[in-house]
Amino acid sequence: MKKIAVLFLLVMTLCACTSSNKVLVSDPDSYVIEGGTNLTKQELFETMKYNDYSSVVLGDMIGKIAVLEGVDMSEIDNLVTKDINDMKEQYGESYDAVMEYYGGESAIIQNIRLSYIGEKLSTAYYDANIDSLVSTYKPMLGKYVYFDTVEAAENMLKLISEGKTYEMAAAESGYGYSISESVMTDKSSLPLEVKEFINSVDKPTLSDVIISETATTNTDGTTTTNVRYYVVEVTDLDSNNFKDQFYSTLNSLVDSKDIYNFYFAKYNVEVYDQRTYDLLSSTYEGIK
Amino acid sequence: MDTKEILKKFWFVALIAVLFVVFIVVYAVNMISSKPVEKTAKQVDGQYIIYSINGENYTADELYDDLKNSYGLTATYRKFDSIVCDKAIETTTEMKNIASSNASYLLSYYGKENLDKQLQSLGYAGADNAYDYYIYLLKSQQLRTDYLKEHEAEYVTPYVKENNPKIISHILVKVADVEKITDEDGNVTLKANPTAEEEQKLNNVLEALKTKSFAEVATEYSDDTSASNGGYLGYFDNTNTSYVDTFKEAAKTVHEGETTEAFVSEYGYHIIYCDTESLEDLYASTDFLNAIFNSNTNLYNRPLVEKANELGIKVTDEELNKLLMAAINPEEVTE
Repeated sequence: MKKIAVLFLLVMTLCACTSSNKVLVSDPDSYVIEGGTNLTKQELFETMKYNDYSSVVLGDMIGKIAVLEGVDMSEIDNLVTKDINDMKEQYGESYDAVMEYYGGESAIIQNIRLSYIGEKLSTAYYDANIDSLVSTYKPMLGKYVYFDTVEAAENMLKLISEGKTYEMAAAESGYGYSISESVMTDKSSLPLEVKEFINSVDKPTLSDVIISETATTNTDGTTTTNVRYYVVEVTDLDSNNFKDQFYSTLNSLVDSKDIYNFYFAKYNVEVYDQRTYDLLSSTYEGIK
Repeated sequence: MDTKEILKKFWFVALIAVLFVVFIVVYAVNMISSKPVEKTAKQVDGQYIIYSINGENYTADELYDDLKNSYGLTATYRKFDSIVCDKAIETTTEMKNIASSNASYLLSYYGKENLDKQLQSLGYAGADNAYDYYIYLLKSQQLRTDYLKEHEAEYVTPYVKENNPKIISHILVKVADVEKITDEDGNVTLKANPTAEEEQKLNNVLEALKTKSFAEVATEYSDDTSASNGGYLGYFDNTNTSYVDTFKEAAKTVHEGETTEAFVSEYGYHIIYCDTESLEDLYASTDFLNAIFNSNTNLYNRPLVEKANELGIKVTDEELNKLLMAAINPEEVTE
């Protein structure tokens, strides 16, 4: 009796020490290759899993999330079909070769599909997190120009005070580029002094001349200071009025990882396979 | 009762205590090992689950199918090639020695982590399979070399006749001032204007070649990096596009055991030696084998297909077999 008990304990201990996390496919012992050293379906599965297949699983996850989010998949499919038809027309006889060069038609279709789904999910993410995004990025609509001399900037302000539009005043003061209203945020690549100004306003405002100095170190070790004179006009602070532009700006500001992590947490994505978890969790901490 | 008597009486309790300690130690080691999170396999209705999303499961079978679409052909080809080579070619002691030495070199060159990644991208579990990988490469080369030898008249002889394959070595005496002279017809010739020192070096080389082997002279005098290897450059044939024109033209004319005259290129004076033109030596060159295979569409996989048929090795998954045969035996695949 004691011997049986000892054996039982040994087996239990060994089981505990090597807790199984192996994932099996159906019919794992069936042969995929036979006649030499037979290769089983499970062995082929393990071999294919040595690849970094995170994009394969992510693609599937994102597709499922899109359905859960109520994304109209038939609309996505129509967009993909249109893009593929456009490409067929563009490349003509070379279409097959082009597809092959970029990894095959099915891979390209999948990439285009995921790109459209990604856009839809991004928009839904922005909608769901609009308050926090506004608070993080402090968006406002406005325009800015800069001059090399303070006189030109002052002249522009003078012309505006005399009734000229922002654009006319800039042109008459020697500004040679086209001016467009754009979304300015706390994370835009604008000089610090300009950001300080836009962060200080709480209603549409025209700035005074904003002086921005940037020092650059030359190859010979000397320093050159570049001075620019900015004239900035904030035209709208309510992001509801320029939502599309703000969302478009967010596409280059928000990391797609943050968006995916949001959805992984929202839809309780849980991975049970060790290899899949190892591949994904290093990038997506929202995965459990 | 002393300790011995206590142990004798309560040995069973002592054994359980030891096992318990072993369990605790192994558990602790697992906890502090590199894997931060240990996942446990989950099954639903007999199906293994890869992940779940809002309660909906993605099964191992679904992942298998998705992976098959992405990597199935490559993985099957590698395994098929490896299985056929393994059954067709005996592992020789020489192969074992080469594989062992190369595997050690790879490990020291890449390090464990990088070699893991490299070999995983080739369908192996990791660095521990470097030896197996080399054995496979050597057998694969042997399989194809044997095939070419068996079909020499069909594939090798015509290639040799047309492209004069050979193994060459060379000596370079660098000349700083090489002049390009263009004649009335636009033809460009090169003229070396060597310094006295450069001229002297060339003379020393020519003198030394009268009494010493080419490799010895190359090692002693050549200004090329190949000097450390006796001037050895390796495989060359008429299709070569790596060397400058004057070099290629001179290399084409030299035959086994012959040395060219010193000639001028943009880099200075060269002398080329033809080590061998023998087929037996050429078969040992992977560049030669590749040149033959590249010159014949679908030839590379023909030995594999024929040997697999001969040995009765086949892919039983219909889908994968169709993909594989379309890739390696397109001539036989009909729509």
